[in-house]
Order: sequence, then C-alpha cells, then structure tokens
Amino acid sequence: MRPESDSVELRAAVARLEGDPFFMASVLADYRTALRLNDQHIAKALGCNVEALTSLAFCRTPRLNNEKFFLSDVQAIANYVGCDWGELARMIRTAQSVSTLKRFTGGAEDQLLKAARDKQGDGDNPDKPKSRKR
Amino acid sequence: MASFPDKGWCVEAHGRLVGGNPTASAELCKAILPPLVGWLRAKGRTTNKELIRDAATDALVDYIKHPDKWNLKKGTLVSYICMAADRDLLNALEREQRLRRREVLIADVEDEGFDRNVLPENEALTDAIDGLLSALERQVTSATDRRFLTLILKGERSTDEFAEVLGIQNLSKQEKARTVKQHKDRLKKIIERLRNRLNAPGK
Repeated sequence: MRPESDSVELRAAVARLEGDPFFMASVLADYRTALRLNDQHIAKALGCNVEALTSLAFCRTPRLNNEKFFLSDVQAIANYVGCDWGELARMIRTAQSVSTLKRFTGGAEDQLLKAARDKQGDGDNPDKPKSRKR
Repeated sequence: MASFPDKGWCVEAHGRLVGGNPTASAELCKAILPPLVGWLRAKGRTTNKELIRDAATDALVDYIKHPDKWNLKKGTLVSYICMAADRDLLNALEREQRLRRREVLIADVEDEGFDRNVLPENEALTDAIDGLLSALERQVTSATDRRFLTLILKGERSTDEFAEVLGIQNLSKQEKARTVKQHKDRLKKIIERLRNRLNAPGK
C-alpha cells in the first residue's frame, strides 16, 4: 500500500493537471464541475474506489478523433484502473461534449448542466445495458 | 522516503509511453513523482513544498509529453528527470526572489504610483524596475553599501543585521538605530534619484 505522504503528493499533482487536456485529470475535472459531482459519486459510477481515480487522472486522454483508437484507449485505461469501460467511455464523451458546448456558448452553465444531466439520466434505466453500444 | 524505480523498469515504461499506451503516463507519474519530490526536498534548495511539487510535476509532465527528449545513451531516465526538476526549481526560486526584491524596492521607495497588486501583469512596471536595479548596480560601488542595499532588497528588518554590515555592533541600541537609519535614508535617496531620472521624459 502507498504511504499517505505519497498519496498527498500525487493528489496535489493531479490538481495541477486538471487544466491540461492531455491528461484524464482534465476530463474528470470537467465532468465533476459540469454535473456538480464529487469523487465519491464518480468512483461509484465507474465501479471503482476513490483512490483509483488518482491513477485514472494520470492516464493520457483517449484519442477522440478515431473511434477505434478511442475504444482501445478506453479499454486499456479501464483495465489498468479497474473500472467499467462503458461508463468511462460515456463519461469522457459527456465531458468532451460539455467542454465543446462551453466553447461555443461561452458557458451558459444551467443549460449545459441540464443537457448533461439528461444525458446521464439515460444511464439510470436498469433495462439499458451498462456498456456503451457500438 | 519512496525509492526510484530501477533502470530496466524505466526503459520498459518509456517504451510503452512512446508506443502510445495511454496508461504509461500514470505508471510513470505514480512511480517517479513521490521519490522525485523527496529527492528535491532532501537537496534542500528550499522548504517551499508547493514550489518543489510544481517543479517535480512540471519536469515529469514535460518528459511525458516529449519522451523523445530523453536520450537513453546519455544517462538514466531518473537522472534526466531529476536534473530537469532541479533546473525548474532553481528557475522558480530565481523568479520568486526577483519578485520579492522588486516588491521590497517598491515598498522602500514608498512610491504611490506603483500598485503592488498589479506587479506580475504590468510589463511597463517590470521594465522600469529592471532598469532601476541595473542603474543601482552601476551607481552603488562601495562594498559596504552594496551589502547594505542587498539587505534592504531582501526585506531585512533587523537593525542588528544592518549594524553588522556597517561594523557598529558595539554601539548602544539607540546609536545603532540612528546610524542604520542614516545609511538607509542615504541609499533610499539614491534609489529615488535614479527612479526620477529613469522616469524623466525621453527616458
């Protein structure tokens, strides 16, 4: 197990990377802010523990411009972190959409939040499969 | 203190990073960041935890984004990242010290025209202070005055420190305070004169 001091250093580094789209830290931060969630909520949705989010945050953001690369990156990350790859893919796409919309709308936050929540609400249907449809 | 990963592990992780594996960056950060922070702390350049963390993170991130900058033949990955982090830390410390000197300089000349809150953004102000510092270096030639001025720019407030520079430690408390004040006033006048000259039209 990692000593507490190491975890403190790693979490501080993650906070510094939240503005850098190269890292998953930025995806997590965008998602957390847009949906007004905390780490516990995100970890629960992904089916992993909160500590695993630190590992996730240091991963490179999946390549978004190619569906094949995107899926293979997401699966590799989910496998490494130990989380649900379908949920992870959905989270990344939602964060990406929110970030894109924000650029175009200049951040009409309530509308974005509503759109993001509607999208997230789809996943709450127990009849729907967990993993992302292809 | 956490220990650095061995050379073989680093070479393999580097290979995964170059090969586009999206988790290689996480493996490297988790394995290298904690010992790197510990190494920088042990080096003792500063006790500022935030500066140390930022330097370690920035050096590691720079390598992760540009892994081709590291040449395996020139040294280990750990030594490459350590050197980069140490260099980043030195630069950050230099920037911080420079900023502090400027703030002290402004405070000491008590110039109402300078707003300390806009210091980092105001390029004209930065240029003005750079000019003032260079002019001061040319103007103040006495070794004692230079040491005295250095204490002022460091923000030193202890009369005893200034008294030591002047070699008047043995005087009474009041005498020391009076003599130190005289020297301070004299040097402040030099600063003000230089500032006025630099601010004069056509300068």
